[in-house]
Amino acid sequence: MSDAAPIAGSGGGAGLGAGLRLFVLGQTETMRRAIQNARRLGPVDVVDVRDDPAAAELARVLATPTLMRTDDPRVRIVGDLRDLDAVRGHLGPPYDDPSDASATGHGNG
Amino acid sequence: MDDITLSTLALDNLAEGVLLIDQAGTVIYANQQARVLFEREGRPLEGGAFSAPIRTTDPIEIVIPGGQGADRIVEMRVSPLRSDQDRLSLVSLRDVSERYRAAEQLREREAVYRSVIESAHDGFWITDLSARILEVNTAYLRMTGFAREDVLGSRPQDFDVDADSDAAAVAARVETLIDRGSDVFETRHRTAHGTVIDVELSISYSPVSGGRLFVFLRDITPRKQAEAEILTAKAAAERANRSKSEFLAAMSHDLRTPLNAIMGFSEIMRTEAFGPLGSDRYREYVQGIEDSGALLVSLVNDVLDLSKIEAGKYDLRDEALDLRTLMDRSVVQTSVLGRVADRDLVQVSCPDGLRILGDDRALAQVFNNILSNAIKFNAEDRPIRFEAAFHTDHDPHDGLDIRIIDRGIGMAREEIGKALNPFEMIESQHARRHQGTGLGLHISIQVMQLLGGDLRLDSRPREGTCVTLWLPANRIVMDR
Repeated sequence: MSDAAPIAGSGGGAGLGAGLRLFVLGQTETMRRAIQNARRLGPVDVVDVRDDPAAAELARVLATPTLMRTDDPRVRIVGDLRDLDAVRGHLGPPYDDPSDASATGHGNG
Repeated sequence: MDDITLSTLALDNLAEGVLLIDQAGTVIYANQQARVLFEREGRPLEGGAFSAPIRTTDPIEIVIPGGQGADRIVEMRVSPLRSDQDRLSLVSLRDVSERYRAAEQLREREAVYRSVIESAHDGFWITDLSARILEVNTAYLRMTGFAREDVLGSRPQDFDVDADSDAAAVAARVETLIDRGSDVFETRHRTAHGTVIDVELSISYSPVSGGRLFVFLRDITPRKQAEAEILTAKAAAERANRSKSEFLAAMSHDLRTPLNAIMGFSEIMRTEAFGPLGSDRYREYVQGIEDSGALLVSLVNDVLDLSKIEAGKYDLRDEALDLRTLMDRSVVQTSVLGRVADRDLVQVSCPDGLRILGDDRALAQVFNNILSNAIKFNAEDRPIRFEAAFHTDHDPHDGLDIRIIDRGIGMAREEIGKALNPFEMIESQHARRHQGTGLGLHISIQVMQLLGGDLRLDSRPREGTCVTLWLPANRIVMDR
C-alpha cells in the first residue's frame, strides 16, 4: 500500500498504475465483507483510514468502506460491495468481465 | 415559493442525510443533514465523487470517519430516481451510531454478566418454567464432574437425590417459587463420580423470555461435615456434663455421710464428754479435725448446691422473714466460723420490722457467704457494714438493697471477673491462700437470680469491696 499516495486526488492519473484500493475503518463485519468481496475482483490495496488518515483525506474519502480505481479515483463504490456485478459494471474494463477475476493484474496499467 | 425551493426546504429539515448523485457517482445535491454527517458545513459536497449509484435492497452499514471516537455508523440506501432525463440516484443516510453504541454496550454488559457467571465459584443454572436447564456454568460442571451436554436439557430432579421426580410436584414447586420470587434451600446432588454432595440452592424467578429461573448452587459439603462433627461433639459434651452433674450430686451425698461421723465424734471428744483427753496436743488435734471437717462440709455443700442449681433442682420457698433477724443470725454464724474476727466488727443496720419474702436457708447461705468473704478479706480492725435500705429513699417500689461493705484488700477489675466465674477461682491465688471452693459467690449470684434479684460487686484494690444484693419490690412484705 506504499504506492498509494501519489495517485490519490489526481483526477486522470491513468498512467500511474491501475489497480484497486479499498479504504476501510477498523475490522467490523462490514469491513471484512468489503475486503472479501473486493479481493474477488483482483489484487486490492487495503488502506485502514485509522492507520493512514492522510491518504483518506487526500483521496477525499467520505465514507468507509470505499473501493476506488487507483487510476481514476472518481470511480468509487461505497459499501460492502455485496452486489458484485454492479460493482464490476461501475468499475468498467477490465473489471467488468466476471469470467476473468485475474484480468486486473498489475501488468494491466 | 416555487417547487424547487419547497423541496430543498423539506429536504434540509429531514432527519436523514440525503445526497443526489449522478450516474458517475458525483454528488449533485446534499441536504443539510448530509453536510453535518460528513462534517462539511463549510465546504460543498457537490461536484465531488461519492459512490456508484448501485441500488440497494437492504440498507448497507457504512462508517463515516470522524476522528477519535467520533466515527458515525450510518445505514445507507441507494435508490434510482427517474423523473428527469438525467438518471439520478437518491442516497439516504441514517445515522445509527447511538443505536449501534447502545447495542455495543448491551453486548459488553452481556459479556460482563456472562463472565461473572462463568467465573463464579458457585454453580449456576438458568432453567425455563418447566425447570429444564438451559444454561450451566463451568463451576457446576467442575463441582459435579458432569459434561455440559449431560446437564443442558436435563431437569433438577435428574441431579437432586432428594427431589420429587413427580412432574406435578415440580410444577407446584415452580408455581410457589414464582409467587414468592425466590427461595433458598439445601439439598443433595449426585455427581458424575457416583458420590453425593450437599448443595445450597438459591433460586430466583425472573419474567424475562417468558419466565426463567436463576439457580445458584453452592457446594456446602465441607460445611455440612463440620456441622455434623460439631453436633456430635456437642452431644458428647452434654452427655459428659450431665454425667458429671449426676456424679457430683451422688458423690456429695456420699461424702457428707462419713463427715457426720467425723464432726459428731470430734465434737464429743473436744467437749471431753466422756472424760479428759489427757494431752493438750490431743485437744489441739481434735480441734483440727473438727475445723477441717467443718470446712469439708461447707465445700461439699457448695458443690451439692451448684449441681442442684445446674440441674434446675434448687427449690426455693417463699416465706415472710424478718430481715433484721436474718442479718443478725448471719453475723453470729459467720463470727463463729471465722473465729479471729470479732462479731462487734460487723455493724448491722436495717429498717425496723422490715420483712421480706424468700427462702430462709437460701438467704442465710447468701448472707453467710458474702459476710464470711468480707471478714476473710477485711483488714484487721476495720468495721464491716451490713446494711439494708430501699433502693430509692423511703420508696419500696424500686426494691431493696442489702449491702455488705468491707474496707479490706479489695480486688482489681480482672480479679472481680475471676471471682464471679466459679471455675477460675480454683486456679487463683485466693483459693490457695483462703480455703474454699470459690463457688460461694457464684452460688450467691445464682440464688439471687432465682429470687428475681441480682448481685453486684464493686471493689477497688486496697480500698475494699461492696457487695450489693438487690431484691425486687415484690419480695418486700408490705403489710403496714
